[in-house]
Amino acid sequence: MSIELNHISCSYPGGAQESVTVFDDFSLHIADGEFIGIMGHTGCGKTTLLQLMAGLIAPSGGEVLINGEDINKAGYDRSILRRSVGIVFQYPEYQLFETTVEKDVAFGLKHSGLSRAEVRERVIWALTLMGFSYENIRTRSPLTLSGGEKRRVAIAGVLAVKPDILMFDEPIAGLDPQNRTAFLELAAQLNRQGTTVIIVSHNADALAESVCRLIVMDRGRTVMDGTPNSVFADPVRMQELHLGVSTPRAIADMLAKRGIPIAPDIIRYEELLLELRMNLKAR
Amino acid sequence: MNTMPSGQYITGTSMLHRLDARGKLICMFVLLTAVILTSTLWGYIFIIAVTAALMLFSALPAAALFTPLRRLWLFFTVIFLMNALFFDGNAPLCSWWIFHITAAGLSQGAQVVLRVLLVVLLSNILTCTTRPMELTGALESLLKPLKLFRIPVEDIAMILSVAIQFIPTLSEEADMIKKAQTARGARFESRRLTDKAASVAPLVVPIFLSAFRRADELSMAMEARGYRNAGSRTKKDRHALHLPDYLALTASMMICAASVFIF
Amino acid sequence: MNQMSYVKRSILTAVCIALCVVLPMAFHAIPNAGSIYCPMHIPVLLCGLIAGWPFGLLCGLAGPLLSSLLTGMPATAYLPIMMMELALYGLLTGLFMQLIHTRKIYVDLYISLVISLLAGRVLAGIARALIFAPGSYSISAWATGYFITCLPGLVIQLALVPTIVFALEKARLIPVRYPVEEG
Repeated sequence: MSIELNHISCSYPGGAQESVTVFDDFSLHIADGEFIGIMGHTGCGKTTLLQLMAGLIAPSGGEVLINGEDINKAGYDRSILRRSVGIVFQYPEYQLFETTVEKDVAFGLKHSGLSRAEVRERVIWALTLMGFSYENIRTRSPLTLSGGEKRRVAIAGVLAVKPDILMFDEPIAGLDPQNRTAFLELAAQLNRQGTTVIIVSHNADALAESVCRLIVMDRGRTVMDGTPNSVFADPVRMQELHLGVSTPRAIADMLAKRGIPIAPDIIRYEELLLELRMNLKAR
Repeated sequence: MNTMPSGQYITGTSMLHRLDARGKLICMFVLLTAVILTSTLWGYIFIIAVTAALMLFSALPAAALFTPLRRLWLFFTVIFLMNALFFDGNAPLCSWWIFHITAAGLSQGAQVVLRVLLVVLLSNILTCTTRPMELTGALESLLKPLKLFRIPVEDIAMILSVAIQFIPTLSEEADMIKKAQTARGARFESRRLTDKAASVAPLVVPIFLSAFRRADELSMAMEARGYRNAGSRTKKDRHALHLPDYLALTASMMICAASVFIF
Repeated sequence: MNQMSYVKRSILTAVCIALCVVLPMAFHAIPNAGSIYCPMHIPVLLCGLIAGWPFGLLCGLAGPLLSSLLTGMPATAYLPIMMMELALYGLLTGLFMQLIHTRKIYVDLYISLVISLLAGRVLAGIARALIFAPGSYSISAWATGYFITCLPGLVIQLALVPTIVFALEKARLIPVRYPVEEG
């Protein structure tokens, strides 16, 4: 499903203080099936952007179109939105509340109209995808699981709805390297199956490894938008925005400074390795 | 994002804004006593005049003071009618079924409404001219004499200040949880009474879990650093009251005395 | 639930007081939430049940006071009665949890909750009648009226509060009352 944001303005009421403007005439188009990463300094509006696209907050001006339909228009059926857009917040484990894992994962399917067997099938699918054995975990309390398990159960709860658009807010923060790789593989797999995936992250390495299009935001504006290779090709600009480039890119820059000729669009370890091998051969 | 609710406070530089919060709080209690003890017509007129003068001094927009009253109109009507219709007095002006309208009942109803009105207006003036933090600080220091009754005032003060510090974090977290559950398709409304509890559980249970998690972390950190209880700690000395504060206190006491003894 | 340290009880109380301000704001968008769910009651009841009566009492007094100062709700006119009612809840739930030990946490919770909620509502109803309608015809009519309008809230609290207590026990955020029962 495609997402279109047209001329969005959005501000937070600041109570007694004056309100804070996050977006002013902001536009963004995301096509069906894209794999997108969003980077930006804290407070640049990333989380607000996700919440706008998920219809959790309404813009004060402009329109948000999901699959061509204005989601904030009166008369729009919100249950369609809930089924088509899934969002995993930064600490998804905090949203667990049911008495068993099975019930918690099935929570989002309550109003879906699916039969009991279909719901069970979805729950099994989502839990298996997150690396659990359904039979072993279904009757356990989600509250007694370990931190990492809790997070995976919470993500399973979002996946079970099978949304066409999946958004993750800082999904890798606090994950160990093994879980990080597993998560990125999962995101790529879902994207290959046709899901539009959007990842908000500070982690340049993870984004370089996974996404196809990288959007860099600063104070409510898109300042860079392109393939990760083209975005990270400008480390000076990234530094101005207080953002880092991926580690392989940084290494490549250091090598280039010492006079080793190296392509400016290298962002992944594999590419770096390949380039270095070619260099060695050329000598 | 600062989500600390600012209450009704309206920034300003009026005389009332500048007075010490402790002084203002005492003045308020004294004036409230006057409102409650008055029972004559002239007494009420006097206090209405005082309230009007305070509103002028506060330089607050009238809307800020009167808007909260709008919510109470039904309440005012009900109290007035309750007293007017059911007051057990002699010589009813007119009677119908169980209703007896008496002069005493009418005046009782009017008095109750007027008292509540004055109480609300006076407390509005206080909360509009004083920051919530200053007010809680003032309450804290006025509670100190309770120590004589072996009430651990310092511990209570610590609990209150921790509570206030928790409010912005917890309200941000509550907001996030609400959004996360909404995105998962939660519906927080339900028609059937038995379902109502179940429909807010996805909101309330995680809010308590995350609040108690924070409490757990903080209390462990405090115990790890050897915190017992407030007992021996000394608090930074507050500023002394100044001349205008004393003048305000004297004035409000005189107003109270006048409304009780003269009118 | 008596193995908690004084510091932990204090901080739990602080958090419950903060929730007295936060929960009504979170419930704000749900229609009629204030009158049906009485969101401020929940933290006070929990505070009494978990931290004991002195803390429950403090939470019941400070919660509505702070909320009124910071958010303007409850309105000043209702504040004293609300403080009284909630203080009673906090006090009574704490006392009954201390007195009743049936070896079944469900039973303890429900008995404490039912008695405190009923007593608190009756007394608050009477207080309301005394303060707002002095000399009015029938105090008992007022008290009954108040009592009946609050019954739906009572049912919801009876369902919700134990759920939260169990969740907190499961998450090991509060000590388990009868450890042997587990498993």
